[in-house]
Parts: sequence; structure tokens; C-alpha cells
Amino acid sequence: MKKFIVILTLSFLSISIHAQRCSWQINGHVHSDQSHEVLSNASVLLSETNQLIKTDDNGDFTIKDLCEGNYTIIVHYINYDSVVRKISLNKNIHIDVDLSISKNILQEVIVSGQNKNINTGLKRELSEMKLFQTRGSSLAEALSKMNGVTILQTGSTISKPVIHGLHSNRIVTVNNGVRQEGQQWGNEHAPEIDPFIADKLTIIKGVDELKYGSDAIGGVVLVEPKALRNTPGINAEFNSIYFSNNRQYVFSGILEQQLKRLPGFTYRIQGTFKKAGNVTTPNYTLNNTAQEEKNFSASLGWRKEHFYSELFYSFFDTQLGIFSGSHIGNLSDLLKAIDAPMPDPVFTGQQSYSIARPSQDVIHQLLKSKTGFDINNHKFTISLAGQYNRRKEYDVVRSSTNKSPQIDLAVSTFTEELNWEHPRYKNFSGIAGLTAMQQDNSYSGRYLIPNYFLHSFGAFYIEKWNHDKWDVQTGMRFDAKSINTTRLQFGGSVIDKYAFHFNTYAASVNAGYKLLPEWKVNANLSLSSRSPHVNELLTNGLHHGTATYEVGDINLVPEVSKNISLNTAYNNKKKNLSFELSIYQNRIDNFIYQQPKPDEPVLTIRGAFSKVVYTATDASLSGIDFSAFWKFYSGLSYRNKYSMIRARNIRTNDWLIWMPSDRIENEIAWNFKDAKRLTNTSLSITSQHVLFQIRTPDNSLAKQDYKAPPPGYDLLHADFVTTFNISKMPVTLNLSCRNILNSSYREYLNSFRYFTDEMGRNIIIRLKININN
Amino acid sequence: MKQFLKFGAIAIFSFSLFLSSCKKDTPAEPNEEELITTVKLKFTPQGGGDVLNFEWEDLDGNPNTAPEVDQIILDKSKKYDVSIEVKNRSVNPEADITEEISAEKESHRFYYIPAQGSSIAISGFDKDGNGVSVGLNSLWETSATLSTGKIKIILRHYAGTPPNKLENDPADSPKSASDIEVDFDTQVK
Repeated sequence: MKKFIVILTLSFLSISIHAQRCSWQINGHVHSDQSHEVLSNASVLLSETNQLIKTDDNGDFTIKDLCEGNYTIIVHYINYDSVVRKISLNKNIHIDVDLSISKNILQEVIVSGQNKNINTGLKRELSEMKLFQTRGSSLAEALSKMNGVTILQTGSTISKPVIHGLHSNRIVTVNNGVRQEGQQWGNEHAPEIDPFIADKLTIIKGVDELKYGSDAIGGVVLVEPKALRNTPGINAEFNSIYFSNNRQYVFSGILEQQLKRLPGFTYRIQGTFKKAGNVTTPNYTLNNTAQEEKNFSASLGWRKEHFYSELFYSFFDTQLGIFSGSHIGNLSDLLKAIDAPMPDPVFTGQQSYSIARPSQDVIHQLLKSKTGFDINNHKFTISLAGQYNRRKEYDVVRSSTNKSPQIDLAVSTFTEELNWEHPRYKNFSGIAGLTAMQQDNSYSGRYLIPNYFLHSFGAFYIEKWNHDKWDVQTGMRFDAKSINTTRLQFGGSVIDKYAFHFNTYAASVNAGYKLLPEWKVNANLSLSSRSPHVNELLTNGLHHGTATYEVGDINLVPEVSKNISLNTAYNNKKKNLSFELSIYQNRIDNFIYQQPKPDEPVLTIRGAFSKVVYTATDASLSGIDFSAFWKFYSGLSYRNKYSMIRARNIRTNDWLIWMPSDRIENEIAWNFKDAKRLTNTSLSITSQHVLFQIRTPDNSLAKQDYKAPPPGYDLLHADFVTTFNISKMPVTLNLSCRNILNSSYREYLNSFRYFTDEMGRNIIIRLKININN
Repeated sequence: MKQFLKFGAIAIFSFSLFLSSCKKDTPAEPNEEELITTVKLKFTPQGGGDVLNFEWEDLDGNPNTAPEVDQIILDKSKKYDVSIEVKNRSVNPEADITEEISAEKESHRFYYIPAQGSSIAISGFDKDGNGVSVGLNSLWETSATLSTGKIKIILRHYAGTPPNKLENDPADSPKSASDIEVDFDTQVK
């Protein structure tokens, strides 16, 4: 009886506790421990009550009205290892759950449904439909769809990305995890990458760029392929594209397979063929602007538990013509060509696919192996890569029997990398790495840059902490670089030898805070430094395209950039209103640029050339990127993008040359309701306004540029997209028209603005077929 | 296992392919192609007299060292048959580029532009297969006025096929580009 009373009392007591205290709640946040992206739509199971809920777009979940007691929470997400948490509940609790990518699949798995909200530094992505709508264009043109990115062009065939006013060696391009070592130092050297390799293009600025180098003052471009297949079967994707303006056609295909009998083995092959004819402006066709590209890549993957290995090979080959009216004999010819309102008729009017001098032929090969394993949740990856880049430039020559290139540069690069990632401990996660690089450059033909051998070592460490509404990251990096150059002078008798050594440092701090579940703010502080490239130190020669004589300076020292950026993003719960605002200020000491020396013309047997000298100054680049989205009526939405930059040369108290002018883009889109046959159908019209660049260096004392910037321009584009099935295979169609009104315009950042208008109306058809098995 | 062997074979094959492509080519040939270092004018006076040679020479082909230029000194009221030679003396033996030009006369043309008051008149150019001036040979006539002046000599090269060179093309025609553009000081005494 006594016993009974005790039990009775206890149970009453517990009931009374329940009655009083069943108002606790567990809220939590789920993200990937690797990419740090929040995981939306993850399953959260409270096993005691069998309650199953899904995380929201921010990766958050809340379980309310819980009584005091012990609970078990199990979090599931596709391709990730499930996590089990035991909780003893006697107050409201917040938990952060970090999921690791499952050991059973390869590391770089990209999971659909991940939230793409910006939460760490500046990060912009182009994937899926937006990326599909750039297929057939160059890598730089695809990247320029992102706010804050513009392109630097040499005619219609050569383009490079410009991020917040910075380009070339100030941007690090990472192709499938390997830092691209091509010949990015030249303004007319486009990135040697097939954009079809990418399933996603990402631009990052902030802490994560320390993984790739201390010199990414402008940012890092990640060209990321899709993860290799991890379930048995075979699938393929084919793209075919036609551009009406230059009669360009592109075929690209991907085939992926995982064999059932060999579950650890997976592979992919991919190839692209592109051929384009001469480009037509609204009033004339530009001779010798054809191009051809042949690219191929193959990936092989092998995985076991706690181990994976991947081999990747890519081959890129492009041949491109350079508008013949831009190849200038000397300064007087240049000034005459620049003064003409349009190119002389001898350079226009041919419809052709053939490529004559002047032209470029560039090959880039990459072979990479990456192996990862983990020991007690410590993850290690070892990457080895070899790259070979060969650039041949064919000038207009005197003798018609001469078939050899006038500039011939070959760069071979080997990189070795070891990364270590420690297991997550008390909301901390971190990664550290060691890298080494050896690079050899050799030239034949005309001297532009010397032969050199470069070797460098680097080390970085990044630590991240996140809890509740906070996300804080910090990291640092050190690089040491030695360069030995030799130049065989005319006659082969004199040898110029130089040795350089540069130490560069980088550090970054980033803090993100969620003011509201739908409103985030982020602040980033970065220090980065870039040592001068060999061309900036030692170039000494004629640059035919611009009739300039370029001279390097061996006394240049590394550029040091101090960058502060503030970012805020708002996405309302209904997902019909969002905006993002970024403000940045980048102060770069010893900023290296080309200073024209108009009062020191260079006299050669071919006549006079204007001289430009690599010079250092202190620069200040500040700007704003703004974008907004508003779905104002059921299927109708409005999108806006605005970017501006102010770039000052502090030492001369003047504007910096070659900086993008302000630009605004407005888009109205109409998303149709899915019909029986046609799904994901939309029609959009975009207007692009580019302002006149009034902020150029002062010409009153000495001429800084040959021609005043061109006037601003307005362009109108339209896009129609839909998906349908042909014998159960999904086919995506894109009909696009660029420059609908066939407007004549010139862009300040295109060096051919001296000679020609930009491309006229271009109608594009893109077809993508997916075959799944 | 078979697939694994195949995978290994492909891997080794592609790696060896890569390595072979990385092999160094023949050692760098650092001399600039088609460099012209020297313009030589040979004056044969009509009616007898010494043959005169004047040269414009820049041996290293780059502007770091100034070119050596002779002054053209001619007698007044005289006619000279002039032939021009173009050479590359940075190589051994020297290359005679005149032969190249002579073999492709239809796509080359020399212009001789005396400054005003130089007391020199130039005519009598040799012609190409289409009857258009080439200028490898010319006739220089000095007037009776003593003077010092300048003469600009330009070699234009037509890159087009066909070159479409016409007699009235100016020296800065967009159809052609400069291979040579040099100035000589002149004196008529």
C-alpha cells in the first residue's frame, strides 16, 4: 500500500509537472558542415512523439509545446549522413545540426534543393536555367550575368571577366578545384576554359578565397562541374545551339555512367565543338572575326568507405580571328584608323568561317588527381595537377609564305596541395592547407616576356564558427614566390638574368547575422596581396593590336589590397519580394597599371609607337551592387540590377582608366502556368542601360587615351524558355534575341571601340535534351 | 575487375599523353622574325661620278639604342639613279629582304616623301606586273637651290589576297601597313 501511494504521488507529481511545463520548444538550424550552406527541406524526426517536420528555406525548424524530458532528434538529408541528437529538455533549446556528406558518395556532391541565400561574404552563382541561357557564349559573358561583373573585350572574339573593376591576374579562376594557370596577364588573353564543363559558376569574395591564393584581390571564379554519378545507371545531356548573327553553331554532350557490377567506379566524358563565322554589326560585317573551339574532358571516380579518388583531364583548343582592321602598323596608321567613323571597306563585308592573320591559337590541358580520406573524422585531401598552356599569336606578316606564329608562349605548371579539415567541435569547423607550385615559361618568336621558372609555397588556415543567428569566419594565408628569368637577346649572345622573390600575405574576417529569419546582414574585411607578374616586371616590346610599346618595371612591389564590404539580403517568406545590397571599398596600395607616355614616342624602323609603362599607384575602388525581385502579380515578376563603381588614382588625384561605367538592368518576366505539354514556360524582356563613362583620366596635360569614351547605350533583349517531352526525354528550348532593336553602340571596356561597333541583333536557339536511364 | 583495369589503362594512357604534350619544344629562338635593321640607298649619278651609299640602321631592332642614320648629301642640279636595299643584319649571314620584296612586287610599295624645301624631286619608279609603282628603283633630281631638309621613306605592305594595290593609293591607305617608316636628313649643296 505504501508502495502504491508513493507511485501514485509520483505520477501525480509528474502530471502536475507536465501540466505546468509542456510549453518548451526546440528550435534548430541545419546546414552542411562542408559548404556551410543551409539545408532546406531536411527531415527532422522527434522519435519519442513520432513528429516529422521539414526545415524551412533558411534551414530552420521549430518543435513547440514539448514537455520536460529526454528526447531523441534524428535529422535526415539526402546524400548526407543522418545525425542523432539526445536532448534533455528543461528549457527552450536551440541546436545547430551539421550534416556531413555521406561517405558513400563522392565529396563534391551538389544537392538540389539547397538554399542559395547569400550568407558568407560576397557569393554569386549562376546555375540551372540562368546558366543554360548563357550556353554558347564565352565564360566571361556567362559570368557577366552576375551583378557587379562586367567584361573586358578585345573585339567580339576575346573577352575576360571584370569583378568590381578588377580583372586578369587579380582574379583567380578555379577550374574543377584547380587554380587555372594559363596566361591571364594579357588583356587579350581570354580564360582557357570550356564553360560547358560547369554545372555552376560561382564568384566568391571573402574568407573562402584564401583556399586558392593570397592574390585574389578581385575575387575567385569557381567553375564547378556536377558531382559524378553515385547511383548505378547511365545518363546523358546534349546541347545544340545556333547564333544567327555570326552563324555560330555549338554542339556539346555529356555522358555519365556508374556500373552496377563495379559500385565504386563512376565516370563522365564531355565534349564541345563550336564554330562561328564573322560578326556583323548593324551596319557592316567585320572581316576575320570567326572562331573555332574544340574541347574535351573526362573524369573518373573511385570510392570506398572513408576513401575516394578522382582523375580529371581536360583539353581546350581555340582558334580565333582578330578583326583585320585592328592590326596596326604604327602610330600614324592607328590614329587614322581611330579617327575614321567606321572601318575602311577593305576590312568589312566578308561572310566567312575562315580565320586568317591576325589570329590566336590557344591550347590548354589539365590533368588532375584528387584523393580524399578521413581518419577519426579528420578529413584529408591531396590534389596533384599538371597544366600545359600554349599560346600562339599570328600577326600580319610581310611574307605570304611565312606560316609560323610571331608570339609563341608555353607555360607548364605543376601544383601540389594538401588540405586537412578538422571535425566539427563546439560549433567550430576549420580547414588548413599547404600548397606548392612550379611553373616554367618559354617563348619563341618575338620577345614579349622572358623565359622564367617560378616556384611558390603557400599555407592557409580558416576557422568558422556559427551559432543561432551568427556566422563568423576568419582565415589567413601566406605565399612565398621565387621567379628566375632569362632572356636571350638578339643574336643569342647576351643573357639578361633576373631573380625575384616575393612574400605575400592575406587575411580575412567575415561576420554574418540574421536580423530576422528573412533578413541577413554580412560584413567582410579582407587583406590580400598580389606580387607583380613577369610581364609587369619585364615586358619590353611591341603590342601590335594597340600600336603601343609596352615597358615593364623591375622595381615593382606586391600590390596590397584592403577591402571592406557590407552586404544585406532580404527575402520575404512568401518569396515574392527580395533585394540584395552590397557596398564595398577597396584600397589597393602599389596598384600596377599601364601609364601612357604620350610625350615619349618610341621610334623603330616601322615608324613611331606610343609608349606605355607599367607604373604603380595607390588606387581606391568603391562601389555599390543592388538587385531586387518583385513578383507583383500571379505570373508576372520584375527584376532589377544596378551596379556602379568609382575608381580613383590616389597619387595623381585622377580617375583610373578602363573602369566600367554605371549600368542598370530591368527585366519583366511572365511565368506561364504549366500546361499539359509545356512546362516551366516563361517569357522575359530585359532592358539594359549603360551610362556614358565620364570618369576617365584627365587629358588636359597629356593624352591618356586615343579616343574619348563612347556614348552610353540602351539595349533590349528577349528570352522565351519552355520544357517539353519527346518520347519521354525532357527537352528544354530557349529562344533568345539579343539587341532586338539592332542598335549601333560601342562599349568603353572593349578595346576595339577605337575601330568598330559592337555586334548587332542576334537570334539564338538553344536546345537541351536529357536522357536518363 | 576488368573495368578497373580498363580504367587504369585509360588513366595511364591519358597521363602519358599529357606528359608527352608537356615536353619542351626545340629551344627558344629568340630572334624576332622578319626584323628589318637596315635601309640602304645607293645613288648612281647620271653622267658619271662616284656612287654614294647612305644607310639607316638599328641593329638590335628595339628602341633601347638609337638608330644610326647617315645624312643624304647630294650635289645640286643633278640626277641620280637610286636603288633601295632592305636588310636584316641581326643574323649571320645577313638576310637580304629586298629579294622578298622583289618576288612579291604586287603587294609592296615604297613611298618617298621629301619635306618641303628639300630641293629634291623623285620620280621614275619601277612597276609591278600590273603596272603599279613599286619604288625599288627611282630617279632623284636635285634643284639648283641649296638647302637642308628631310625625306621620309615608307615601305607599305598589302596583306590582302589579292593585294588590290592601285597607283593612286596614298601612303596611309588602309589597304596596306607600314613595314618601314624612316626619316633621313638631307642636304643639297
